[in-house]
Amino acid sequence: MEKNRKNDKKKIKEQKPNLLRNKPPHLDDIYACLQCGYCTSVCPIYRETGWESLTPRGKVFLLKQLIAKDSFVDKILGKKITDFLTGRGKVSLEEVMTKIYTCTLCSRCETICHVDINFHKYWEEIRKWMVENNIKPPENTIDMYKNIADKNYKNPFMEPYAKRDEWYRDEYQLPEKADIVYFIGCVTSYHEYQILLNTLKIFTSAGLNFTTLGTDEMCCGAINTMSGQWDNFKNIANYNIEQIKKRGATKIVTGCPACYRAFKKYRKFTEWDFKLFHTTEVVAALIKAKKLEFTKEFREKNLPVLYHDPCELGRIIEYEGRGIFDAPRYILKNIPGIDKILEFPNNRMDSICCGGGGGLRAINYNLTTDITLRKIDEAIELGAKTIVSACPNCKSQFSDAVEIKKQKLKDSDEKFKMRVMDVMDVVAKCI
Amino acid sequence: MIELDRPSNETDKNLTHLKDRIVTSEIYKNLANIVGEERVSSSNLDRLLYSHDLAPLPKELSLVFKTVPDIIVKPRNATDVSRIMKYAVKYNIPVTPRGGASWAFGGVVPAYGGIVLDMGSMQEILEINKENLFVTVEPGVNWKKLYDTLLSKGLLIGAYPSSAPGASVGGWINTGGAGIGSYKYGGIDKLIRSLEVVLADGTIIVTGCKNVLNNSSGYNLTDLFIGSEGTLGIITKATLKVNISPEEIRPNSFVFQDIEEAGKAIHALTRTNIIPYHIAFFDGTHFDLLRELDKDSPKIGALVNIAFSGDCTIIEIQEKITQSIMANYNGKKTTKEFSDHEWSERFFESKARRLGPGLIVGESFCPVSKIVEMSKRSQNVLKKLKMKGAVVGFVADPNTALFMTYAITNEHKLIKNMASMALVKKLTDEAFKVGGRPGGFGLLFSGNLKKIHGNGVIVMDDIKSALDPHYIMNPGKLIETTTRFGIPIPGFAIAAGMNILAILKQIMPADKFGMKNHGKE
Repeated sequence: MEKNRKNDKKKIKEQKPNLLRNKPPHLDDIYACLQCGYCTSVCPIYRETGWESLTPRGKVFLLKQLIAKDSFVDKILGKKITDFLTGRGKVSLEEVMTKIYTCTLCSRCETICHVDINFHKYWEEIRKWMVENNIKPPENTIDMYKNIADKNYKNPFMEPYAKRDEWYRDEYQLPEKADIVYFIGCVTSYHEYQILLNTLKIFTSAGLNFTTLGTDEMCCGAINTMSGQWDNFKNIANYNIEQIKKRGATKIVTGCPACYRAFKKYRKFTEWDFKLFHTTEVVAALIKAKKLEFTKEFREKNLPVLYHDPCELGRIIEYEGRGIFDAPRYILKNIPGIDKILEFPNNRMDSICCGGGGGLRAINYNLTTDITLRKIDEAIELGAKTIVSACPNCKSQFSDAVEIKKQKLKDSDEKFKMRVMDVMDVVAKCI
Repeated sequence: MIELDRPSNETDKNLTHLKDRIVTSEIYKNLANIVGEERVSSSNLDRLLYSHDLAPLPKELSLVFKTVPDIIVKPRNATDVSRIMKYAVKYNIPVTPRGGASWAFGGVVPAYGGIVLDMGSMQEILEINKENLFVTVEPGVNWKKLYDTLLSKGLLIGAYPSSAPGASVGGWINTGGAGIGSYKYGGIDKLIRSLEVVLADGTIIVTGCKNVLNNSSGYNLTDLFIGSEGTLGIITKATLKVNISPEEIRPNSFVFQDIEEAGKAIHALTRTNIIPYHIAFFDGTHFDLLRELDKDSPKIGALVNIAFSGDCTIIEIQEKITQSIMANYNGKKTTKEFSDHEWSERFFESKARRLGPGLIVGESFCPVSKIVEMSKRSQNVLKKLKMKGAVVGFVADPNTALFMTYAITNEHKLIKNMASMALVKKLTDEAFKVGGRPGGFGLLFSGNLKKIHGNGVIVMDDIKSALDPHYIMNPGKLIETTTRFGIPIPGFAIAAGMNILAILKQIMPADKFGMKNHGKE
């Protein structure tokens, strides 16, 4: 009996994460934090919620509290008594987890960090560490993780895998083998299929020899890395790489910055050397080589256009290597009818997230649209008629917010019109 | 427990009634009624987050001061604040306003718990008036954001704190700061046209006129609230002067052999009619520490950054004269890239914290004529206390230099870290010796106020009693340091304690610093 009890106790102890032993990654970053609060001034989540707990500074402080050793008085009086006397209560891990997951992973905080914390890596790795320590991530992300692993779906949205090529399989007869594989991505495949159709139109009209993975495509696994559930990521990487190899391709093109970053991470698991491009890079090169002919002007009533830098395409890839800022701008400049591209007051490295990043859409949708609505107001102030981005997530986020804004203004006299397009949509409209 | 039905009308300063009160759920409900449920929190997690500022206070201090608030409220406007204050005064709940919390003296850390008013929730720029050259903002507006917004509209805010990306307008007013641009445009006191303040009893007052100067208009109430550290009222709106933005802001950097020559050069420059936008100085150790962080920093004796603003032609004349003055003291002008980089780094002076990890800053004002002496004294203090740190600072007006000397500490070592606080005290002593004074009082350094103002503090106390008879506005700060039990700690006791810490620090072996995991993947 006694032995059993002891074993039971041991089991309970094992289940509880021991944060003092399993220290989080980048421990020196946690201690280096000055708590200066520079990050709060740029954090889109803080701008909407106003709570210290949702700022990078607050989150780092909480992590520091979680792993804090017993202080001098703790040792003398005992932790419970000190906490009572000082008025500090217990902070639960789950609560901290929800705060840490309320973040778009936009890495804007990194640009202004006083002590140079690499936040673009940091938040992802902290989430990974939390999951490794048996702290459950938000329900929705667990569902997404399961859906990706499910053979019937292979995407986070519980859509049947056979639906992937539904939009184009009759219209486009793509070759079985080609040097270029256009990796479409789940958001583009299921939600923003206009981008997919337009990209196919552009590639075909430029005479590119390319193909897609069709129904064999699996989610790139970006959501796994964002939500800290890495254990399936290697399998996903291997599967997708194998599918691409089967098509005899050496170049991968994707229109989704999240997929782009995921493929960069694949390099850790494979020795196979592939070249990776974003669709804007490819189209910019096609325009430069004069392989793409524009026949129509961009519609005047949709002018002027405003370009939004997606965080993952610009800032974060810049931190991981070289950001893509100029290719989309180059394309837009070359579109007949577009003389001038408007810019958000915060652009390029300082671009403010649209709200759609980091898997936050699945966790706290209303918060993300609040962020987008603020951006839309900025766009209206600038006098823009079309918001152009180069990321399906951004497009989806902006489109949702435009609808919400329209609903809000339904009964008022104010007239509001705003088009949301991807760079590919703009190009396809003019060829 | 709080008696909810019987409002207290006592006007005495007996602080025992604030002793360790527990905010009941009744209070939570009432405050939620005023501002809405989503703007109030009393969760452990939030209370912990609002119990500190830039300085990591040891847990032990929470036994003496009730640093953990009972409830956090985020007001939307002056009416909200007024209603909250009326409620707080009725039930004698201490109220501590909080801005960007980027100060290191514990101004936003409650001494008695109670309500923390997070003014960060009011961050709208309400009016930019180019016609009458003013801007009206809410107190939570961030300085960098205000600076950038105005610049994009062709306007310039005269001065801003060196922590502009983190500091809030209300915070800088309450700490009465001087900062970048103060040399030309004055400190925050010279920038304000008018304030809207909610007093302790909930009355909303306006202190000036938004269009014109506040001169010859009776008692200058605006100045009363500048540097009041939240002990007199809560600023809910500020109208600031703005200027037409200059054609150019041109930074210059000069390298010197040591801080002595740099100090002499600065002194000579301030004795001319040239008025630069900003003058900052650093000793060589600052750059040595940055090099230890793998930063590409030069090996130099001292550096002086001088920025000019205005029309290009005028800047060029000023630049020429300045260059010749600097050359008299062997100051060599650096490349444009270097000075531009230094200018962009003007907000990031505390990077060395990573080396400890930990950092302690001593803020003191001293006459420019004593800039060399003060620098040497500061270096001596660092040496005596066996601390690694750097002498940095800027010139706030032709005869005021603000020293922000910092030293690296090690947060992991409780006693040594506590003993490091002696640095602030020792630097204060040195500042007094050269005819200067410390800056910032906050939670622990109220003793210095008496040293500076003598009987003036009694008048300050009277003003405090008149405006806040119940002593609920940020109690236990600025004028007197009081523990959570209502027992005041006299200034000499804190001074004696600090001296003991200093002796302790001198006896203890010096800390070893270096990059730990930095640079490793």
